[in-house]
Parts: sequence; C-alpha cells; structure tokens
Amino acid sequence: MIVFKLYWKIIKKNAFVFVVYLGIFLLVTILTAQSLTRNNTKYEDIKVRVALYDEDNTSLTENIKDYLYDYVVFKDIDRNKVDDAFFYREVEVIAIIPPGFTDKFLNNEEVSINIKVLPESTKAFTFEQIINKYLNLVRVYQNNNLVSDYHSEIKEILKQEASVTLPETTLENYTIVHFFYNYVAYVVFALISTIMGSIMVTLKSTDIRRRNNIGRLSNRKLNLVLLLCNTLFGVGLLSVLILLSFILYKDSIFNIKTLYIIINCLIYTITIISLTYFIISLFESRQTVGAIGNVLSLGSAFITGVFIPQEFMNKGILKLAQFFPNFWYIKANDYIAEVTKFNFRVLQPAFEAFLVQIIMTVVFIILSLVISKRKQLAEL
Amino acid sequence: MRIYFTRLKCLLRDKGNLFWAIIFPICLGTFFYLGFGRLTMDSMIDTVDAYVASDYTLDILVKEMKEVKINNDKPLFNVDVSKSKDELEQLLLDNKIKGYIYIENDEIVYRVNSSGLEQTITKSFLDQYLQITTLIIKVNTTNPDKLLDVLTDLGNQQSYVKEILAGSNPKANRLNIYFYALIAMACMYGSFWGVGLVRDIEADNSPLAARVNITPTHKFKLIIMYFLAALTLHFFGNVVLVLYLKYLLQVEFSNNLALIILTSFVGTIGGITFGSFIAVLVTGSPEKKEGIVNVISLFLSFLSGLMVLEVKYFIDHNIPILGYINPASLLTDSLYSLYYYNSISRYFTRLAILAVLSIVFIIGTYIKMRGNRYDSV
Repeated sequence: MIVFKLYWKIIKKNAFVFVVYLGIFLLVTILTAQSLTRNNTKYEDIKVRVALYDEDNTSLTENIKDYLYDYVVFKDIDRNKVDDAFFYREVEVIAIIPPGFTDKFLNNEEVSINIKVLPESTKAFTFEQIINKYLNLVRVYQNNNLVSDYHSEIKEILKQEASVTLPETTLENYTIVHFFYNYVAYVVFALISTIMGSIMVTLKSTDIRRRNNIGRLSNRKLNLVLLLCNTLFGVGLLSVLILLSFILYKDSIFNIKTLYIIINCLIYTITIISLTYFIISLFESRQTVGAIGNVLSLGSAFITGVFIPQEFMNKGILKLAQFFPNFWYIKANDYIAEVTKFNFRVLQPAFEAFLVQIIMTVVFIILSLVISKRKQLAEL
Repeated sequence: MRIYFTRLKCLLRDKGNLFWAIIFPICLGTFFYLGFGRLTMDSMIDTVDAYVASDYTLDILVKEMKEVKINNDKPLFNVDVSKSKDELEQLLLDNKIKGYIYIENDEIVYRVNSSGLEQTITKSFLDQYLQITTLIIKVNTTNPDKLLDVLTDLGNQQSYVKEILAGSNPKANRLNIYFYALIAMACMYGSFWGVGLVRDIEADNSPLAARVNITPTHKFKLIIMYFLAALTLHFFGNVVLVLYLKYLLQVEFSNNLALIILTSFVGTIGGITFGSFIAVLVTGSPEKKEGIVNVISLFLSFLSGLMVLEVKYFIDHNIPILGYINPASLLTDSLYSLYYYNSISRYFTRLAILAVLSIVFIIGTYIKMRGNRYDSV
C-alpha cells in the first residue's frame, strides 16, 4: 500500500506536465480524426475527385459536366490552390476544357480535354474511361444523326447498369473508427513511455533504491506492485481515449467489432506498459529513457503500419516490424475491421495476434524482473 | 570569442541535447525510409483479377473482357472462368476474392464484399458492355439502316484526353512531406539549445548561471555568443541530416541544395530562438521547461504533417493562419514549394515570415531577460 500511495504521490507532483502531455495528445488525436474523410455505408463506385475548369462554355461542355456529375465528385477549388489540392490528393484529376473544344469536336478534328493526373494511376485510367465513354457516344450519335437531343438519349442508355449485390452481412462505415484505433497505438505508446518513464525514473536514483532495498518489501513484490500501479494508470489513460472515440463516433462505434478492438487495445496497452517497464529496468537516466521511448514510439509507428497502412508496406520491413507489439496490434485491428462474420474460425488470425502480444508481455515482465534482481545483487 | 569556444565545448558535452538535435532526427529519418522510402500511396493501374461463375457464364462477355487492354501489352482483366458460383460465393465470404460475376436470366450480376477501386473498374466495364448492347438494340429497332455505320463508329473508339505537365510536377510523391516535416522537426529541436541558453544565463535557473551573472561580461554579449555556439552545432547537425536524407536515403528534394540548406539554417535560428523564448516564458525547473519545449515542438511538427500528412493540408485549408505562425509548418512548406512548384517566390515568403518570427522570439527573449538583477537567488 505504501508503494501504491507513493506512486500516486509522484503522479500528483508532476500532474501539470502530464496534463499538458495528455491534452496535447488528445488534441492531436482529434485533429487527426477530423482531417480524415468519412466513407459511405453501401456499395458505391469509387469516384474520382475532379476539379474541372471549363474555358469553352458551350452546350456541349455543359452536357459533359451534367454527365460527369453522376460519375465523379466535383471539387470546387480556387484555380490558384488547385496544385496544392492535387499534391495532397484532395483532387485526383485537374481537367481543363480548352477554348474551341466544341468547334473542333463537332468538326471531327482531333481535340482533347487537358488533364493533370498521376500518370498510369488507377484514378487517371478511370477518369479517362469515363470521359471517353461519353464523348465517343456523342460522336456516334452526331455522326449518324440518330436523334436531335443526344444528351438525354445517352443519359437514358447510361442508366443501364450491372446490378451489384452484397452478402447479407452489410458493410458498415467502420473505416474511421478503425483508423482511430490504429492511431491510438502511437498515442498509447508515446504517452505511456514518457509519463511512466518519468515516474519510474524518480524511484531509480541510487539513494532511493538503496533505501528501498533495506526496507521490508522484497524487490519482486515492489516491482509487481509498481507494475500493477502502472497498469492501472495505463488503463486509465486508455479509458480516456476510448471515451473520446465514443464521443467522436457515436454513430458508427456501437458494433461488435468495437468490442474486439477494445480487447485488442487493452492487451496492447498492457504489452506497452511491460515494454516500457523493461526499458526502464535497463536504463537509469531520465533522458535516456525519454529518448528511447520517443524513438521507439514514433519510429515503430512508422514501420508497423500505424501511420502508413501495412498493406502498402515493404514485406521485408514488415518482417522487422514483427518484433514490435504495435505490429500485432495493428494486424489484429486491420483484420477485425475487415471481417464480416464473427466466430472462432474467422477470428482466429486476430486471436493469434492477441496471443503474440500476451507472450511479449510475459517475456518483458520476466526480463525486467531478472534485470532488476541482477542490478540489486550487483550493488551488494 | 573565447566565450564562444568555451560554450561550444560545453554544448558538445551535453549528451542529451546532442541526441535530440542530431541522432534522433537521423534515427527517425531511417525509420521513415524503412517504412515508406520507395512507396507511393496511389494505386497504379494494373491487371484486375475477374472471376466469372463457370455455371452462369456468358461467352461473349468473357471474350470482350479478355480483349480490353490497359495499354498495348497489358490486359485489363485476368479472367478466371474455372470455378462454379457456389465455390466463388464461399471464396467471397472468406474474403479470398473481392467479387465475382454471374449471369442469370440475361441479367449481369456483380457480387462483391466491399467497395473498392478494382470493383469500380470491373463494374464500369460491365456497365459499358450493357450500355453498348442497349444502344445497338435500340438502333436496330429504330434505324436499322444505320446499324452498320454505328457499329463502325463504335469500333473506332477515340481518346479525348491529354495529360499535361504544367505548373507543378504531377509525379510528386506526397509522402516526401514526412521527410520535410522531419527536417522541420530537427530545426524545432534546436529549441533545446535555447532552453539550455536560458538555463545557463538566467541566475534563478541554475547555480552555473548565478555564477555567470556576477561576471562583468554584458548579458547581451553572453546571449549572442551562446546563441552562435548553439547555432553552429545545431546547424551542423541539420546539414548532416539533409545530406543523409538526400544522398544516402535518396529522398526526393528539389535540386537546389543551397536553398534547402538555407531553409535549415533559418529553421535552426527559428528553433533556438523559439526554445529560449518558451524558456523565459515558462517558470520552473529546466527539466520542466525541456519537457514542455519537447512536447510543443512535437506538436508543431505534428501540425506540419510529421505524423499524419493530411493534417497539414487540413490546417492549410481550414485554419490557414496557423500555417503562417507555426515555424515547423513554414519550414515544411518552404521545402514543399521548392520540390513541387519550383516556386522561388512562395519559398522566400515562407522563409521571410520565419525570419520575422525568429526576430520576434529574440526580442521577446531579450526583453524578458534584460535587466533581470538578483539580490539573492
């Protein structure tokens, strides 16, 4: 109990810095969440985001725009800022209909809409197909004088679409919650390693440690109580984050997936606590612990798929990433977010990832107890 | 001058700050590189796997699918007609395939388990197939005499788009922003030296500073010399970082190395002055100041896109003022302007604002420190 009380006393003393940390990380999380776009729930064609500038302004170009309206997402962006928007893929296609386009088109001369796209990207391909489909149809209609009002006739034909069906388990808009929880991997790691690091280092100064050694409490028991305190503290931090997610995503979060993801999160938090505990048992100085915590939390976030999805990443790097608990956490999250059925057989890969994290936890705890004991003996 | 060299020696012994200033950014850069060094987040067009149920197929559709091409040598679809509808349904439920096609009662059905680019491409092809069929049937019933001409025209598909390369580089990879934000962060970490500067000059901060304070040396001179020493060291670290990123990791930068180095020079000044400014504003132990400076630097870097790059765009477009007063954003943005736009004016605007900010920090720091006299500490 004494240890327990001491732990909270240290927290109280450093409360200001901790609150600043927590506040900033919460702000970071909220800002990140806001900067992401939300997706829709049923099957939808992936629409290309287009900024279109019409310099011709004829009935043909009006028709083109009217047609495109159904197949792309128009972004109304100031012409001066459109390059910025393109860089960040707020728009994926910049299209400019040049003056004189219509005249040339009607005379069957070679003519084109100027587009700026990433060459050979899927979005470029899709957009080219959409435009060519319409203009080729217009050409066929015009050349053969089929009807006078070609536009509504073509739109009528374009209503013919293949029907799309989905398995009964409906798709849900879970992307944003999924992303939030992936991102939590970084926040948990960074917060726990810095805050817990600075609490624990306080207890490690030589004088205090020597005094503790002559106390009644055994080294192992002291360590276990501290571990318990840290776990409580970590779970407390985690609950704040979970609460935040419930507030931010109240529409889509009530889902069986969330339950599994929270379980995953809890396991992960405990793994990170034991990892931090292990780092602390290895190093003495506050600066070293802080530095290592920072490098590991930010660095591992980049190679384990927290910031960049695992599917985009190099296979070799992912092999290396397996040594970090975040890799398994993200892997389980990605899997849970994707599956549509929940039974043991389907969820098995997620459970395996849970298990790896638990094994890591046990290994870290044993290692830190061993090291701490060694150091204690070395002092005698 | 002696003060300068002594200070440089002192700083070189400060292992913690050396780590933050030099080793940390290089470590992080390496992690970035490992994570996504050669990556782009855009999906490139490639052959799509398409499954048609063997027991509910339509030969002419399969034939058409096999014929479409992305370009001269690459087909759009890799068509598989070997599995039955039941087999495909099971594969779909197990997330092994993204979708399959079957034809029932003359209706084409595309069954998928999620939305996605591949699905969109496949569906768009199926739509087009249906639409052309409809058109032909329609012409055949209304103007049968024109059918042949229409078919010829349909066969003669033309392209009405042309890719242009003007203004900015369309192949620019937005992931490079991470590296630029990293350089910005490294500059911001110059703020640790700023904290150190205040710690060692302000008498109430450390015993060392108390001793320094009773010397006859003018405080302004001390500040300048300490500042120059920190600048030398941190700038050196930053140049190493830039060279490491550019030549060893081959991160894409603008070709104008001199301007990149200039950015990191101005950035370093910004970072150090920012740190000392915060250090005079916040009261408390140097550790507390370092903690706060650390988390603020990290936060500013976050706003400039260090962790999630969409954040930078979001800020630039929704709270643009924040982009202009955040030193890290200014740095990231100036590197971005060089790389993407080749625009010197935009680049210099950013750098000029940063220089003004640094001057504000310096004046602020000096005003707070000036004339502080201590009867006893």
